[in-house]
Amino acid sequence: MSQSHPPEIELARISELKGSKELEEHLRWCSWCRRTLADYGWLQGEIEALLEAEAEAVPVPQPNWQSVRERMGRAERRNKGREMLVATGAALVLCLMFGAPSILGRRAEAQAVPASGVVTAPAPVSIRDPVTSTRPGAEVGGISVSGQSREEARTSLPFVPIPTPPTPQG
Amino acid sequence: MTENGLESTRLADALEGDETAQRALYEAHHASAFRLAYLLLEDRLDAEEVVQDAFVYAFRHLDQYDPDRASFWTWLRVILVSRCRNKRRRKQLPRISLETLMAVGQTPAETKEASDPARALERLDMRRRVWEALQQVSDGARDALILRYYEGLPYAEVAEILGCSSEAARSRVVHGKAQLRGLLTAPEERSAPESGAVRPAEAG
Repeated sequence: MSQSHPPEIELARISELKGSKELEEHLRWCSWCRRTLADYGWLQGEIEALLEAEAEAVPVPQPNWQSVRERMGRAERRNKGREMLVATGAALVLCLMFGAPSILGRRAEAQAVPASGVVTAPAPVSIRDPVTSTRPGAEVGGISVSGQSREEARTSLPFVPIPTPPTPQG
Repeated sequence: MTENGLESTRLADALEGDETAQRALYEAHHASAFRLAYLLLEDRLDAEEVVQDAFVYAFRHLDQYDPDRASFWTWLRVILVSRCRNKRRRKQLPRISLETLMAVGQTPAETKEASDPARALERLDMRRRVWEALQQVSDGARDALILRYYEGLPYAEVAEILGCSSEAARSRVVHGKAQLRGLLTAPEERSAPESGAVRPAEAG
């Protein structure tokens, strides 16, 4: 015969499942523990009856399928909106991931090109009257300018200039 | 067609998006779901809201339901209990006494003993005490007690719904019962006689 009482939680436990041999032996002799165990059995019955009674007593509302349907629709719309937002965000991130480096890269390349490599248009050559502005013997645009007088130069032109009429005097 | 067969057909149709099948499933389980939610939340409006939430979630995630693992009701119950716990956490439920319920005309259903007024009164008083004590038990233990003693579930299912091991589910029930007994019994009745002073039980 076991002389010491098991802890109360142990008695609560064996109301749910069988206890050890030692505990069962103790219960055969100990009226206090048997009473506690009986209390747990009674309590279980009370809980079952109470819950059953409460559940039965509560008036169950009519099933409202329309409301469930509306909620489903709302949830669906919310979900679609969320998906759109995620897709837009993802597209933006992809654009930034792939677009930004190429844009930045181009800018960086442009900065990295050496000055000698830059193709520049030849500076415009000022066209001036070779006769009046150059000395004889000088070269203008690779053409040798001979030391001719204005008259000689005029006659050597490939066309004949139209004579201008004399301005009337008085 | 058997009940299971009918439900399987409805589930297959509901999965295809058939609204009639979804509605049939909703109407078949609505009352049970509502009663369970009411016991867990102690509020009719909250219970109805949570039931609708649970069905909306269930129908939108029906593709995740595995009929080989559990029945639709078991799966729905997992969703429902989880929603109830979330609701309770958000609201930090005020506890309602049975007197309050009686004041608004919600008395527990009368038993067969109603014919004996004295016994009926005694029983009602005891039930009131148990109900009040049940409201003081910790949430986890209370959920386990309701699933175990109202739904009559084995520990494995209680564990699945509460998301814990079978041993933990059993432990919650045991502790819930111990808490209840503590609340219902006077301290002097609960203290065991001195160790070693064990009296042999009376015969019979």
